[in-house]
Amino acid sequence: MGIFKRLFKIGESEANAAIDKLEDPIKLTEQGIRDLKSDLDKSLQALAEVKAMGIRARNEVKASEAKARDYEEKAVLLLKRAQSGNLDPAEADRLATEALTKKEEALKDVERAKGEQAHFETNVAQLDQNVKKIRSTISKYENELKTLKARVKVSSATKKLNKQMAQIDSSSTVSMLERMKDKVAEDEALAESYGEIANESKTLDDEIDKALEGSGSIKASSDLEALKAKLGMEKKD
Amino acid sequence: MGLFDFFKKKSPEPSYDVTNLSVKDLNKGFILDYDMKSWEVKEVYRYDWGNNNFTDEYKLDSGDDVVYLHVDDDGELELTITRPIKIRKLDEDIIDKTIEMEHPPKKLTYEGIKYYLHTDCAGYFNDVSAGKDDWEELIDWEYYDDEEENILTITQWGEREFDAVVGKVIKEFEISNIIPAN
Repeated sequence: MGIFKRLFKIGESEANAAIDKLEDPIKLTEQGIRDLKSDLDKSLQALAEVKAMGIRARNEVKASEAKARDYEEKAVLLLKRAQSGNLDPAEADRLATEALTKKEEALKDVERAKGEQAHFETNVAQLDQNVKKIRSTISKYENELKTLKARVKVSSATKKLNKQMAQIDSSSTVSMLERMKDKVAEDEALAESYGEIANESKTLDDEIDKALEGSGSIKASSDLEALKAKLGMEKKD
Repeated sequence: MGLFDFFKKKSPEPSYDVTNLSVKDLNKGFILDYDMKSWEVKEVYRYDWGNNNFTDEYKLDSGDDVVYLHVDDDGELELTITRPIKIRKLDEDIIDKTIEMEHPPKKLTYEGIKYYLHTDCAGYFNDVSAGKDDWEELIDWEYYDDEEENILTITQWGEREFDAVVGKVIKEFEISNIIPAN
């Protein structure tokens, strides 16, 4: 293999790999279903056209049958007029023959339209088969799309979970929680030490004050007695 | 799919879901099955009853018969299939009586079925398939029988023009195989 051919191969493989990465299975399946629906729409439109032609053929049968009846009635009327002397018999025969010819033509139209109707009905049956096939394919792919979406959801959730599990190390949440626990313990120890230091650093004055606790209120009550005596509000016993 | 298929001109998306067509999607040229026959939608009409209340009607042709499918989708779907009748078959003097009383009788009998006046409403009519924006004024008197299975409608157009249709109320499932047309 020549060098250019090899280089081209490398480029080709890289391009294919890049396109593969771009392919989203769900989006592509959804687009495929949309394309199938468009095909179904076109097939249904063709089916509608053929069915409409069948309806028109039926209409033609009805109209031609009415025309045939009409010409027959006209022929009868012409012969009756000749019979009653209102029309020349030779002329009546000529016109009645013409009317019957027209009736025959109308009956031929009936046969032709009936043949067309039968032909359209066969076509409708064939097109109906195609439509059913496309409908069933769409339904199959719509169901597969649901499964595909569920599978993608499961795999994405599993991937996320596995990634989280794989990322548990010294730099992750667990080590951070451990660090927090240590910090709290450190704070507690520090608080305890401060408490101990506070207890140990009492002065002599503090000790005296503690021993004399309550003497302030005795002084206050003797001061009150002195004030009352001064104001002549001696205690009455 | 080739890379360059992406640049191909795409036909516009249809307004209906091709896998789930209903009577609400009907349009001119559509085909449907009813009463064991295929029918083609020949004409489409729209009625405006005011307060944003619209109903649609379709002239259906099976080749040997013509009927009118009326679709009223006021939350609940109401469908009727009717055929025109000669109004004087209801009563010889019905037109004069209606003009004089300003409404037709409250009870009517046609082909042995008794009909009772259910509702009357005034509105406007438009032949959508004709593609014109002409709206014609009308008054409708709707009658149903005891079971509300049969319907009779008298319509007044202008001063002295009247017509009548008679038919029956149908269920949505009675219309099937709706096929769109381009």
